[in-house]
Amino acid sequence: MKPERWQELEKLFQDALAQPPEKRAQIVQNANEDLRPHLQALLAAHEQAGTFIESPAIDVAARNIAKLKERSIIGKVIGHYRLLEQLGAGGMGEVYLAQDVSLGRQVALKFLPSDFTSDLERLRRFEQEARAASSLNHPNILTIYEIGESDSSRYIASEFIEGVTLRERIAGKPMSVDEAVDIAMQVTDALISAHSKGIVHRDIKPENIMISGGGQHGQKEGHVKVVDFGIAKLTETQTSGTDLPTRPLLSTSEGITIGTAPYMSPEQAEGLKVDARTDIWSLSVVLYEMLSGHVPFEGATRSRLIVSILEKEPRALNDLNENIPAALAWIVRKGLRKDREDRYQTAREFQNDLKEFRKRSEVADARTDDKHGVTTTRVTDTSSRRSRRFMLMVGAAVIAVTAIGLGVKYILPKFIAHTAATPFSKFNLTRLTTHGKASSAVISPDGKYVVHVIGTLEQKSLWLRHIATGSDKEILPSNGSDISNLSFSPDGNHIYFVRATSADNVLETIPVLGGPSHVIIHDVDSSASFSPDSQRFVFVRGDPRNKSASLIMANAEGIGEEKLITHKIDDFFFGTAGNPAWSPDGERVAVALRGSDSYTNVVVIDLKSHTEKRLTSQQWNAIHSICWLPDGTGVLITAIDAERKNTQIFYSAYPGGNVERVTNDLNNYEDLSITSDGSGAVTVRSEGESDVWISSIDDLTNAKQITSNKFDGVGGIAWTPDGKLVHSSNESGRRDLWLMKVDGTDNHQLTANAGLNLVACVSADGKYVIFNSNRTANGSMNLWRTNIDGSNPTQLTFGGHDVAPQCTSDNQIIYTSDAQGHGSIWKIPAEGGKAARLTDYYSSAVAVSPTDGRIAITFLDDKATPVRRRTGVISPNGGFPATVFDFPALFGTLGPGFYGQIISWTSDGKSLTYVDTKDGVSNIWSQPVAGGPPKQLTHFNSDLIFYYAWSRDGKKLALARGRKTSDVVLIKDLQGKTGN
Amino acid sequence: MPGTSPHQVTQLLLDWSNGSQAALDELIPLVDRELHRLAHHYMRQERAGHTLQTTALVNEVYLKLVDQKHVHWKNRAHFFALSAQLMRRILVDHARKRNYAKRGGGANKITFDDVMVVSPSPGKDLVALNDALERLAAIDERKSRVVELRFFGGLSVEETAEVLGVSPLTVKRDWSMAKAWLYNSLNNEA
Repeated sequence: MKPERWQELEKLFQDALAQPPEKRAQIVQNANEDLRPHLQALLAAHEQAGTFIESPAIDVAARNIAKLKERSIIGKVIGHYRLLEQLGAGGMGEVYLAQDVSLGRQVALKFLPSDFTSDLERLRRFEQEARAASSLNHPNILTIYEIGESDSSRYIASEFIEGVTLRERIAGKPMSVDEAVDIAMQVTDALISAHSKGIVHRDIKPENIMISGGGQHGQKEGHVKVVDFGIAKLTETQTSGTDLPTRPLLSTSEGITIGTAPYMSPEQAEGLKVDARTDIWSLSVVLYEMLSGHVPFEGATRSRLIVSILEKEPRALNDLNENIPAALAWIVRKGLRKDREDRYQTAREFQNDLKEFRKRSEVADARTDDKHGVTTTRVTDTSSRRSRRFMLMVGAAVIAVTAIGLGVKYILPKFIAHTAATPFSKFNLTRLTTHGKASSAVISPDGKYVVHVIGTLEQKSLWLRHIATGSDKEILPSNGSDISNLSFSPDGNHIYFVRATSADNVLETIPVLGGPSHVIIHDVDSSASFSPDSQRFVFVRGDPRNKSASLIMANAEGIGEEKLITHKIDDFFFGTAGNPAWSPDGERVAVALRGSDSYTNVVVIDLKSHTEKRLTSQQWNAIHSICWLPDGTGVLITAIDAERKNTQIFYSAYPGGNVERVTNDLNNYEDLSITSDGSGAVTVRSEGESDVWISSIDDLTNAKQITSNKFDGVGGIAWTPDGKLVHSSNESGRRDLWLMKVDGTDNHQLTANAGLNLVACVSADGKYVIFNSNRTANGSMNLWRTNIDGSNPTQLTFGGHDVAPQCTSDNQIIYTSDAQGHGSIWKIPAEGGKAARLTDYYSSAVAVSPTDGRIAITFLDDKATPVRRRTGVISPNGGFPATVFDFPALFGTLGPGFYGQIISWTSDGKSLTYVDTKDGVSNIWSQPVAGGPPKQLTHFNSDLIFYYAWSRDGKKLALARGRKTSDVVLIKDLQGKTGN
Repeated sequence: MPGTSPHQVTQLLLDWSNGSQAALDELIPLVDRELHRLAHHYMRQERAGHTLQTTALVNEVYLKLVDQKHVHWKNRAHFFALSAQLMRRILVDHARKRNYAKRGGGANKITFDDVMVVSPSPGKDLVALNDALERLAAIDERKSRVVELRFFGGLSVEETAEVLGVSPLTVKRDWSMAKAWLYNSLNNEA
């Protein structure tokens, strides 16, 4: 269109718009013939266009994306799960069938509703509960694999069961007595296990009981899985569920919304604090419903239902279904006693009666003396003489069982099929110790004994536990040295351990039942693993002077050493010592080695050819233990994976190298050993707790706790110039940095949705937070910077492993990099730019003096005897340390990745402070740099110090304090890798 | 997610206008992130059954992307123009990529109106609009800029007038003509 015609068209268009619509036709009529159709079209378009392009493009684009996402979430990968199909949706959120793309298995992925995830308080409680629930490993409990987060949506990944819910199975009709009892007994199995760990379900109902259809996952038809342990209640939304007439959402005094009304216990209805007995009530309601097709308590409204639960007795089961034996009806009624003191007290009691019922249900005419009746119970329904007689019979049976005690053996119905599709998809964990101070453990080859180390760093003793009886015997008392790296000789007669002192690491042996220990060999840096014939063993020895380490074979007396392989020292000792494992056929040794990709994997050395071959290809930061399955077809490994940063158990097939996760929870599993028949394994499971505390220089010991998320500060604390605190916390579900006021208020997140974020320092001008993050795609740790408000995250370094930033008063950052294959100290401007190297020897920076910029470092002193890590002070420009100190080592007290001292300068730049931990209690000491005796600054008498930082004026001390508990755990029923 | 510093965006915009490809490479993920954040917000709102009431949110996104307070008033117009160009470029590229990915996937012919949020292949709309806008520019440069500034740049009538150095009334008139022309062009032609 020519410009003049366009202008004319526009004029006509605007003139027309200036007129009311009915008069526009006139203008169109008067228009030039060649312009008329254009004008007509434009005016029509004007009428139709409505809100077209009125919303900004980004709004339109974002809505489009939202729509597309909603539609096409199937096929999408969330975390490491590909969504396959939607299984259900409701108040509890949406559930999808998904494929775990890293492990290949199918999982159920449940997304939490958005209003739920926006409520931080509920979210926090949910994560606590889910964390507890995820530790449950029981064949009748749906296994939670992971509680994850992606694009700010939270999800729970769990085992996927093909089957129906009990709700669908009941379908409003009575089930057979046998099936109902079978299902109830399986649920009691689940409850026994969960209650023993202190976890109450709180919402047992048919919707939360899954029955597998059979035919897959090696489970027989009718296998029961209880879902949503301890979390169902927490994820319910205010608007959920219209399937039931009443669905009260009362709040308890703790503010927890409580369950589905018809299954709710009287104590729940009253809003009281609940315990395990609430599950017994709810299961009894479920059993009643299975037997009769009706729930025992009903009400047209919520309040009527509650009245019914609190006051009314249910209709007798026999009235509803003649086929129900009275004994069973009695059991159900006992489970439905209003006063929980009168109910079955434990799921075990409940189960025992069900078992007894099953055994005795044939002897319906058995005569029972009324005197043995259960006269103390408030039986309000005595609908028939017949039912009463059976009731008494069951009561008598219970008493008889109690009298005989544990001697009575039942023939347990076998619910667990023994052909798992996935290796180790099922196993039972039993805690053998509860003192929380186990640091190392090994199971004897015959599975009868567990030897474990109890105690804190310097005070370790060796104990023998006889598993069957639970008796303990101290076989090696503490003498002030560190004991670790336990192993058994294959014949089970001797225990080997490494005793570490400041001078040497010595491999010693002691007879299983105690006696004098004797030294086998000096300078040992791993556990010893024996050949099947007990004639030789292998171990790792580091040679710090030559920066190398070797896997060495020696005979059982510790002589005739032969080096099998030699590598750079860090390849063996990156993280933890690479404990070797001799294969059951005697032909090879598996050992942990760091590869060129910086990850640690299992390498297998062929003893004939001395060749090494990498077995696994995982992104593990470190491997703690390796043990072979007795048939040599695979190894079990405890390793820290790069993503999660906790130590978990994995399985790798041999020689295939396919790796599967065995555990998937938030605990750490360290030592690992297995019996010679593979029927049991032992590990040390540890959990940590850390919160931020503040104290003042006037009274450093009088510290005040300011956070309570149980994982605060352990990854670092830093002060801002204006006296706020940056700290690392797991509050978001990930390790992120948060900024808060010194009283703990105004706490807000600085980093989010991006890897691990920890170990911060704040620039001298208060503008930036410098921190470690592994958020980039390759997962390597680098230095990052954000503005103090968390905005503008910027990557500062791009090396393979750049860590531990220290901010200087002239806006530089001192950090440690392993750019040269070993730690060395570097400097980079906070504004970014080129990094300069300050040291070229094995060293890491720990603190920068606030007054003169001198740098406190830890370094490997290869001129000292023995060669060891020491602390030194170097000039701001690098070089070698002029002043050297031996501060106590802190190995073991900190989490993975933290194995050095925590050193800081006092604000006057005259002293270094450090942590000394004795008997599980940490305190801070100061050491004048110019010399003189150290001085104890804090006098705490409990808890470990994981991190601390002095305020810039030196008047306040922020501490990450807490506990680390570790206990020995027995793994039973590890299912073989048949069909693998 | 921590916000993007408007200050930094301003600098990047400037670098980009001076021909720095690297600046664009940095800007794209910033815009993408805001876009997805916004999309995510909508999804959450919809799941919760809320009506989509988001004007403030959209304004916030634009504010994030141009540091209105700190830009000198003489430069303000320049930055507005730059940010509109940037948004146009990124959003259209975004849509183009998705069309490419979806090609053969049964992309439907869509009507271009506000309901387009429910159309199965809405990415196409932005591409088509962009093409039409180029045709409009050949006929009437200023009108296409009005659309660019208002639709892609999220500017108000007054801000658009400031950038173009014309009266708000002119912007309104240009807008109504351009809107009708584009709507017609997208629905009745080609």
